This record gives sequence, structure tokens and C-alpha cells, in this order.
Amino acid sequence: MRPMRGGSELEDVRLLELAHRGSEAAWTELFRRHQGPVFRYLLQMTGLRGIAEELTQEAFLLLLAEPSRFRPERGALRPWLIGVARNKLLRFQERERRWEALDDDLPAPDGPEQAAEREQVLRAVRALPPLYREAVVLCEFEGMEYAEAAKVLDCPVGTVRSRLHRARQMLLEALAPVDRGKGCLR
Amino acid sequence: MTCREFCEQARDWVREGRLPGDAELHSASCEDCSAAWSREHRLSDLLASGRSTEIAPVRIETSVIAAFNAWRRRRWRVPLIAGAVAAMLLLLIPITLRRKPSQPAAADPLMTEFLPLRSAPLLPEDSAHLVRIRLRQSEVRRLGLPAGVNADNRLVDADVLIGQDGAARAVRFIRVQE
Repeated sequence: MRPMRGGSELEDVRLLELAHRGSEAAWTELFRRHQGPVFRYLLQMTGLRGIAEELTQEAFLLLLAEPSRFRPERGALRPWLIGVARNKLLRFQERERRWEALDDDLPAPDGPEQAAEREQVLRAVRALPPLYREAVVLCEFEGMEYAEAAKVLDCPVGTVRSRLHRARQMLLEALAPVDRGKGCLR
Repeated sequence: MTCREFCEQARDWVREGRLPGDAELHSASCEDCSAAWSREHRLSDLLASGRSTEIAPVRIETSVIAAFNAWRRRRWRVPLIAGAVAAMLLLLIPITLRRKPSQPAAADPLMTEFLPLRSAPLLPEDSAHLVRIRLRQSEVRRLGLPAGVNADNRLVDADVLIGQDGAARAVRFIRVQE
């Protein structure tokens, strides 16, 4: 495959246009640009690597098969893709009646102390109710603005803000023991 | 600024990474709010440690690209087939148009109305079937039907309507236009 020249500078909409004219390079660039956040969102929400992989793929295939469903005037591509992945996940959970299956397949940490801390943070996040967890995943882990997260979650910005605040409150309580001795979390 | 206002907005300020001037003044003079600010900061640091840059494995990219290539092939196949069909039609139309005048004109038969025979008339609700026969003009005359007198041996085509009982109910004469 020929590498895409200046691909990172191209707008998503232009890349999508090129992809739909048959450019494999443009399609690959789009995938590489957005697959990470989509995959990580799904992984954090399910704890199931296989499902996260499958639904990531499905979200991109929907973009390929039905490009007109993405309306650039309504928002950016990344929140749209995560929103698609979220809908697919909700359908999957409905179908499978299966919510959590936490695997411990976490990425390698920097050192033992950081590893323990990181693991506890991730466990605390995964223990949050799904509506609060996704606000944390999108706004804290993926660094989305409230407005972007609202697009993904299909709810008002104020709802995202209040869910995130509530989630942080729950995390403060859950993580207090982590910080025992450091005297900051309580 | 009140403690309540400070606590309500502290999380947003942590996200923004700055404390406005009046909030900073309040925090300096209020131990509880200062502690709350520290807690929020610490939580943000902890959450930052949970961030990851993990991406889907390469096989997912390979699979999505393969799906793209399959889609691209399908997408181009349809217009190609349609184009080939259109091209064939374009080639065939002039040939057909050229051939048409040289073909003999289709025979356009002239028919009389159905003439009732002596047996019971056929009612609209009755079912019947049609049989085409060929007979001499003299036989036509013998049936009491109108026929020319100068060419008794000339053959005439006729459609005979036969009722369910097998009796002929009506007949019409056909002449092929020359």
C-alpha cells in the first residue's frame, strides 16, 4: 500500500471522501487515526478484549457500508464512531444479557508501585455503574470535552457533567485507601 | 465566593487545569476547600495513571482493510456489469433498427364479428373454447352464412366458439391481409 502523503493533516471528511472513491490509503489513515479511542472505550466498558475488537471492527464497517449516516455538520467523526460502537455494545449486552467479564489483561505498567496504583484505579473505574463509567472513560481517559461526550452518549452536556461529577465522587470514596498515608483523597 | 460554589466548580477547574483568581483567594483562606482542591487534583493524577494508549491488534486493521478492498471490488463490479450491458444494448439497437425494414410485415388479420349459429346462444357467464378451422366458401354458404359465390373452392379461416356441451355457438371469419 502506498503511504498517504501528509495524511495526518487531512481532515477526516476529506479522508472519508477519498476512501469512498476507493483510496485504501485514506481508509487506513482513518482507521489508524480513530481506532484507538473506539477500542479503548469498548475495552473499558466490557473488559472483554474479543468483544472490544469485534465491535471496533463493526463500527468501521458501518462507516464503510453506510457513510451517509455520518453527518459532519452534526459533529466530528470520532464521537460518531464511539457512539456507533456504544450502540453496538448496548445491543450486544441486550442480546447476551452479559455485562461484565473483567479480564486482568492490563497493559504493562512502569513499576511495581505504579502498577498497583494503576490497577486499583482501573478496578475502581470498572466498578462504577456503566453510565458513570463511560463518562469517566470518555472525559478522563480519552480527554473528550463535555460536548463531544454528549454526542457519543446522546444526552445533554449538563448530563455528562453531572455524571462525571458523581463518578468522581464515587471514585474519591473508592480510592481513599489507595491514598492512605498521602493524605489527599479524603 | 462560598464553599458551596467552590466545591461545585472545583472539578471543572481541575479539568481545565487552572483555578480562577477569586477561587484561589477562597482556597487560601478555607482549609476545607483547599483540601477538596487537593483531593480533586490527586484524583485527576490517579485517573491519568489509568489512561492508556492501547490500540486494537494488527489483525483488526488487516481485517478492516480486507473488508474495504472487498467493498471496493463489489462497488466497481456493479457499474462494470451495467456498463457492459449498456454497451451491448447500444450495439444491438442499430442492428435491430437496420434489420426491421427488411423483415416481412407482420400479418394483420381482419376478422368479422362473431356470428351466432342456430344452437342456443352463448351467455356471458358460459365458458367456451375457441377452435380455428379452415373451410371452403361453399361450406360457409351451406351453413347459411354469407359467402362469395364466384369462388366456391377458395379456403376461408374461421374461429368457432364451442360451448361446454360441444355444440358450436358462434363463428367469425378471418382474412389474412396481403
